[in-house]
Amino acid sequence: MLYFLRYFWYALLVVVFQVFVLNQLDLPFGGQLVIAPLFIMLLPFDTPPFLLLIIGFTLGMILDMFMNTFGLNASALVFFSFMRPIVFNWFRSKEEYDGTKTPSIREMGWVWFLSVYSLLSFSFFIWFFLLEIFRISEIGLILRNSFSSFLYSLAFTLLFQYFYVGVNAKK
Amino acid sequence: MSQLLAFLRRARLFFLFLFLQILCFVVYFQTLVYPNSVFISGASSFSGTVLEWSHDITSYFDLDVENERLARENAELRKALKNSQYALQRDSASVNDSIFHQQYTYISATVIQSSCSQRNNYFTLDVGSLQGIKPGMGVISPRGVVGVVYNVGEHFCLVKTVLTHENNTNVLVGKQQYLGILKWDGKSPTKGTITGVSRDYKVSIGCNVYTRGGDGIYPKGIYLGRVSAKYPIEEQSLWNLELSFWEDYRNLSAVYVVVSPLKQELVDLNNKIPTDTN
Repeated sequence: MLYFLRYFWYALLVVVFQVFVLNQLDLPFGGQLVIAPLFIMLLPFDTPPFLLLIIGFTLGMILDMFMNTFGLNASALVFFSFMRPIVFNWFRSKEEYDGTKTPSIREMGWVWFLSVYSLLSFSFFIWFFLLEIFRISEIGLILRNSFSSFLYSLAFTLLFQYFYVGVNAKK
Repeated sequence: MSQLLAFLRRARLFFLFLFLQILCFVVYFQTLVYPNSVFISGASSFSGTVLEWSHDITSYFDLDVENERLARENAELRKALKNSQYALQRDSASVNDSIFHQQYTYISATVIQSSCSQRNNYFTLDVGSLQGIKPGMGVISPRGVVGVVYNVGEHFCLVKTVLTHENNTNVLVGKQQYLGILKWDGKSPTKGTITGVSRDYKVSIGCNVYTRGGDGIYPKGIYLGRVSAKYPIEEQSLWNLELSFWEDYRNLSAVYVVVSPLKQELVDLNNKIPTDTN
């Protein structure tokens, strides 16, 4: 129960911080700083995949309600949640993941985290902007927005992990 | 049968993914095409109320800027008042009010949620159907045009701004009043694009752009900004004009919803135009 309440509190913080702080930023090159994927990413390894999808969908719909994006965030977060176990499998080392751990830099190291999160995060933004712009003729704009948003979000993620989680990276 | 069940069990995660995606797509495209529900938007009563609380808190930080903006608008309006002007033709100074009919009235509103970084940017206003707001009404600001009311809840409404892909606003360019269509290419919230102006016309950089009016949405002559660049469209005899908006949509708070009592008459007349059935 405590475990559930802790993540519920984190999710609430993500929504509040995203809607009332990050959305007010005016970032260059059409980029957006989105932190909801980081929340999904940092859920423990043993989170059941179907629960990931439900959490992604719910969190996305709540964000859509406040951001006037009508399901865009929900769709992209469901995609992120679906891809998470698949990408984790691709980057699995010889031993199994420890279900009690979280996929953070502290637990998994820089290389693993950066590889997995970059791939997932960039796919998230490509999905988001493909759906939002919905025109192959504007592929340049889709790529520009996706790449800039990916860079902003990655920079935030690294800073967040450094200052908040604490980086005692696995040697 | 057992094989089918085994397959379904194996693929149940994918089916859940597919189901949720279809749900998202239905919500997304239905809201874009048929804006009849405000549930997944800032105009729903829950999200609208939360956004209003947030705006109540944060608006104190912008009071100086907002006051300055409104004072500037007041000064412009005072300048336009008849008693601020010198009558050149004294003989015809009397005005019979009965020959005028109110064409537009305005409802003041506050933007409680806005974004300028999306491809399609919608603003949430703190007025709704209880204040007489209806879809299709225009929204203007002290320094330009904001957009058109897209969806209305009881207490809040959603505005499809000029910073959206398909918001085509009729504009007039320069003193010669060349007709053009304002679009937005999604790149910068400070720049718009005007198409439809023939290259036969000499458009000078820096000339003003105004609303055309006549559609019952915006009054004629609302200043939008200046032409900051012009490019010929290849293989077409048209200009692609870059418009620098006068309004800064990233810091917008006070706006006015335009109510046009004569709009229905205009719509009814337009509906009577015979369509070519061939």
